[in-house]
Amino acid sequence: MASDELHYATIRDLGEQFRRRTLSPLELTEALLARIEKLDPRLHAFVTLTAERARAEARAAEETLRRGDNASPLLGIPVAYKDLYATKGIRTTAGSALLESWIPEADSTCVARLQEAGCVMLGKLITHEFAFGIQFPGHRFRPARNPWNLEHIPGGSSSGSGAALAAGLTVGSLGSDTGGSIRGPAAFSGIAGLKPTYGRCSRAGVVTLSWALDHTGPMARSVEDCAYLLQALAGYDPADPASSHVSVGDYTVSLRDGIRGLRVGVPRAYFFDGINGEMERAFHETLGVLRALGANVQDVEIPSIGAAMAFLVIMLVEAFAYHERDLRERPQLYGDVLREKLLAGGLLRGSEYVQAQRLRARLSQDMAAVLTTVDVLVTPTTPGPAPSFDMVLTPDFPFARSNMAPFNMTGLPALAVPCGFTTAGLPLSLQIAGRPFDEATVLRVGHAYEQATDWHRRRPPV
Amino acid sequence: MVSAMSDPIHELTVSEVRERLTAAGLRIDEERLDMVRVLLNTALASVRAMDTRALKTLEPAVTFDAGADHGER
Repeated sequence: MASDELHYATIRDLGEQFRRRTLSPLELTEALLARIEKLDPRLHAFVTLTAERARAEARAAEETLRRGDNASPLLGIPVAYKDLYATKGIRTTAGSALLESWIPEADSTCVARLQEAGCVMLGKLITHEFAFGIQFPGHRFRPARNPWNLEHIPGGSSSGSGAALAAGLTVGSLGSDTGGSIRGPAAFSGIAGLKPTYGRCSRAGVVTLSWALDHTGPMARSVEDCAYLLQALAGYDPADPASSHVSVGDYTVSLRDGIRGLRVGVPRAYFFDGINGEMERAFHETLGVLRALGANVQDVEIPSIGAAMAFLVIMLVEAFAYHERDLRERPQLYGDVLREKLLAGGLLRGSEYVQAQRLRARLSQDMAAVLTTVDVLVTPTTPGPAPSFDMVLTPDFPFARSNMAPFNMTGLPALAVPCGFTTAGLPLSLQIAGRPFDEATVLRVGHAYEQATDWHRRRPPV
Repeated sequence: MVSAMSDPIHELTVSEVRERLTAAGLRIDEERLDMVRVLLNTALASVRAMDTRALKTLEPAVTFDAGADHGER
């Protein structure tokens, strides 16, 4: 396999090669470590590299493969974790000066599950400070850069995950998503990212931004790879109070069932406000692909969709509640602009928070009703491509209306997949959302779309 | 019904932001007050657009998982 093919290989292809003995986990790990050494000085995706640990885990995976006693599709697969996920014995900063010396005593549940499944840990990936929002001035760590254009952000807050996957520095990753922090970086970096149903994947051991809105989930270069990662991540965790007992399906078995006859809803209101022209064209071409695949595409209406940005009230209030003591006692350890945005949460009233939660319930009811008439909803993931650092690194850069936040408000599963490129070469993305715990259908639609297009196979000029 | 977003909505002023800061015992640099005002108004727009008396949903929780009793993984 050529070097570039190796760096961008899928989990299934790598597993087949491991089992045919045409490639070993250690060879793959060494190839990725060499690529990280070569490219990361420009991309800044990694905060911490765990090279020796990765080599040891790769050797252990080789031994297991030699014994032939492990059928995990993730055995020997290199991954890197957003630095919001606690990793036992390895510094976990959450992108913050407050935690720059924190060495957790235990793995977060998601990390533990991927490691138990045989993954090889390459290191920790940069996150925006405490996973809040888009890149702000005053951030203590160097920002990750978008491999498609280094002058643009890779999205956030899982910025390192997006950049590392797009550049072929890791095979899989974990993101967290409170208002779009898995799907946004997936969209801006030209990869796939799944925010599962609220309660599907554990948040235990992941630094909190907003209890009501935080989700954890996989990021990868293909929908199928996301499905493999989700299979290991999903399931009840007593350490997470929001974790669900709903049984875990098989996310890979139905991927190839196609979407003939599937009902696809397009909510026209809200999701197309202020949309970039190239994004709008790409989205409508996407609808044509879905129709050609046999889907029944129809417009739908979500009556309370205008209430979606009440998510900001919930996020700001809960983030302030989480950070209040440190904001009052050690404010100098926060980045300047983040500190003030977090303090804004302390200025909202109790009644405003309750009304936002009521709007959330209303929106959930309306989405549930619409999802009795269609099987999935599709929208642009973001209104346009990745903005430049010049644009976002001004303190007054506004908190944009989000196409992703409605699915944090409602807890519904939502997937981002590449659906085109701008003439300037920046990725565009399709969002697919579904019913609670129906990740299988969402992934099936994404996989069918990927198989009919080649957007996810394009590589950035790094 | 949740009323339309085009309804006239009172927006917070900088002096109201200052009042809220005083009440909360918090301090934000003067040069950042307008940024915070814009953020709060963005957050509050949909809350202020609704007639809370007409919103029949009383329970804020998302309950689609309530009563689920399936086996663990």
